[in-house]
Amino acid sequence: MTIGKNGRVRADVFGNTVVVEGEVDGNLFAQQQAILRQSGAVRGNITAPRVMLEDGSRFRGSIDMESKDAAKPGPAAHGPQPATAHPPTPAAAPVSAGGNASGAAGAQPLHAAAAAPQASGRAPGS
Amino acid sequence: MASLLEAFAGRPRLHVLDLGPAVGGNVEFLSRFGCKLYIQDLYPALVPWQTAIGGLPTPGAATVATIDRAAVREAHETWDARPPRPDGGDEETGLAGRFGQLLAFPEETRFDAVLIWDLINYLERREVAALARQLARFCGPGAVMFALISILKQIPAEPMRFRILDQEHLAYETRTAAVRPCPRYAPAELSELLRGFRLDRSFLMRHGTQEYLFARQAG
Repeated sequence: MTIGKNGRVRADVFGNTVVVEGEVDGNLFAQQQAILRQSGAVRGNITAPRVMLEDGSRFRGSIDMESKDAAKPGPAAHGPQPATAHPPTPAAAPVSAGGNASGAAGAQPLHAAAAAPQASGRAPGS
Repeated sequence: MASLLEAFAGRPRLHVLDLGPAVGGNVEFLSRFGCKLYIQDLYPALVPWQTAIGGLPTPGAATVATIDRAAVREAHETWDARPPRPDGGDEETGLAGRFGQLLAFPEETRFDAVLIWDLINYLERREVAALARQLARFCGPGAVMFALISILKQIPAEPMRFRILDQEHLAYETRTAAVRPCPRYAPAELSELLRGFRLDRSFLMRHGTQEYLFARQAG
């Protein structure tokens, strides 16, 4: 199931592999993998064995990577749920399992922080 | 990071709250611990509110050359002296309400770890205290809070983005070239502000950042 760049979904989304390039206000349930592309934005919970968030994507909610309850109709009781709940939609047939799952495409330059020594001792008092 | 990950050891099914932006690498790294990860990038939601109440200058637009420190101080003094709200509320109520809205979880939620990153550097003292009170509601005894506090005079005008590289290394990325003054909270002050949490350990790193690990106290 792919939500395209111009897609705006206000519902729960189910699929084998769920790819979000647009906006979803709801929960994602994926049997295999959930992918949030750089252009994507999700406000809700993600339940999938594997979750990939590309740099630049926007996400607010919880990510549960236990596989046993993935892609079950209805909001599964994985513990705390967000304050907003959405009625589940019927499970949709996977449309596209495409998408690049090779890893986050972080193109931002990163500066390596100083390596901390092995022992994290207590700092001197103020 | 090593001290934080030590706290993860032996805990089944961790619930971790990340108060920074969603970073794919962090999701992947924490997935190895079997975490349920909650992501709530707090700063973007706080900025408009901070500006509206006459707080610190709007991030991104501030530079060392343009910050009017006297005006900022006056804004705080004016805010402190303002009369009670007509609706009977007060600033404390407003702060508590604001963080209550931003960190709204079911009552039974309990986090094992909270990743604050460098957010505290961008909060006023009252906000730090209010944030701690809200977080304490959802942290059981022994839960840890990880924070990076700058001791430099100036910091980037917006919080940085942190990526966990491995058990001992973090990468950070600044999102703006603008800078702002840093509150430079001292350990004793942080301990007072973060009530309900005790300082477990701290570690001074290079680049003027001190890594703190706080633990939720029982009761």
